[in-house]
Amino acid sequence: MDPAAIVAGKPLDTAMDVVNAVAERLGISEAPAPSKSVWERYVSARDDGTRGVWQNTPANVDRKVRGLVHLMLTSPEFQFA
Amino acid sequence: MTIDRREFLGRSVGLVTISALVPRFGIAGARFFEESVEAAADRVLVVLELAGGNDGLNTVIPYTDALYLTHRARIGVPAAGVLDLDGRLGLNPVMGSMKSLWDAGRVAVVQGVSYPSPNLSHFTSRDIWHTADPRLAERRGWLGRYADANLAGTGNSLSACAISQSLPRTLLSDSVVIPSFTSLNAYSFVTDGANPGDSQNQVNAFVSQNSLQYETTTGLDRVGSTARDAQRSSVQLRQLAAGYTPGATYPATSLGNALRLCAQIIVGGVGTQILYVTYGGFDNHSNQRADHDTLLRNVSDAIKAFFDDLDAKNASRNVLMMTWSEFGRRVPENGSLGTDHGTAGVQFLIGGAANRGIYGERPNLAALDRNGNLSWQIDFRSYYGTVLQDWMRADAAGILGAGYPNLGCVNRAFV
Repeated sequence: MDPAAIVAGKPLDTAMDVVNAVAERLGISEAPAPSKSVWERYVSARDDGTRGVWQNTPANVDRKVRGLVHLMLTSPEFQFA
Repeated sequence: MTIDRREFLGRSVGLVTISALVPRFGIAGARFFEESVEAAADRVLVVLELAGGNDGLNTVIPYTDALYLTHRARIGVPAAGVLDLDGRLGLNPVMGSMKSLWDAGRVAVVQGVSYPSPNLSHFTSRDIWHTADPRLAERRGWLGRYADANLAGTGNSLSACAISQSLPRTLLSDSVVIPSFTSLNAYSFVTDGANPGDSQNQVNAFVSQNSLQYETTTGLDRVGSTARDAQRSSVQLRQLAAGYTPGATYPATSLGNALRLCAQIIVGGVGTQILYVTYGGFDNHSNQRADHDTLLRNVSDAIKAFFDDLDAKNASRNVLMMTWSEFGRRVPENGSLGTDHGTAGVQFLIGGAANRGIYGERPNLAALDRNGNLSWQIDFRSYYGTVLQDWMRADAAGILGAGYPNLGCVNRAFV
């Protein structure tokens, strides 16, 4: 998986931007707000689980896009997409 | 019968799709749990599928019938090594472990099992055995129908399990989602391994995303609750595995590993009523003798280890194992030192509740059909029905249809 390629060309200024970019690539951009909120919290979470603030760095993109792909692929929304 | 994607996902097998997309995560789970005090709740049925069409004649050998070695001059088992059962039939010499279970009164042999107009296709015949419906009009498996009638609503996500890469159709149910996995390590949500520090965040998000409230009409709730149950049951299973020390030495085979896993689940006492294991390789068209003997030895030794393990844990009394295979083999050997697809086969019931004995007449090798096949004697639905009625305490006629005589091979009063 090349996380940077998945979100290439997309705005990644906020955690929700990251969610929307990956969701669009997986064909579930219409996922309901509660689901996107879960994913947004994941993108914002630090390793210790506390809430942080998303920063668009290559390391963060690699880390969180990988995780988002796993989560979205196992989501009910993706299964019914 | 076609099933569209939405319907497919709305039913139990749908979750296999998730497993396929995210390797190693066998999503599963059942529904909302309340205490179940069914009469059969403490009984466990272990179904062992011998896939490929096991050769019954080289398994339980009519060694006193001269026609046996006439038909099988090169692959037949000489009488001298056969492990006698009743003076006329005996087990293959490699099945010493099974013989010891027989000697202990824990084995019933059911002979000549098949159905009217037997089908010789692996796929079709397996479907027939899975559904217990030679017309193939029934979509659900026969134990899936049992689960719908008896396990739905228990909420126990481990009420039935398949030790398998995918859900066998036998367990396909409308209302109970049954997990399938090949190891406890494989039965988990796999986080991305590139960033271990982020793994717990992924697990937390996985649980959260599958705990959202959806409109029940969309089907999303079913997928979500199943995924959530799967995560919960995978944690439960991992806890079981952590402290388990087998009470016997299992053979280092896939079957040995699978039955060891079954024992872990049984001893763990999580309320599992049905366990399903598939062991393949029985389609022995060529060089059968060596290959088949190896398979039979593996089966025999693994089953013995399984019951030894349960005995050591004082957990064998409520366990019954049944075997099945989609067909037997043709009586005459072929030109490749093997046998081709046949009809009637032999099955085993193993456990304390098995009424030791041989059910069905000795194979009549003098009256083969025009294709060189045995005549079948016992409809496999009688075999299933006996287990359902006398072990699972279920409505066998309701699940299989009426008219299949009880074989008497299960001690109903046991336990």
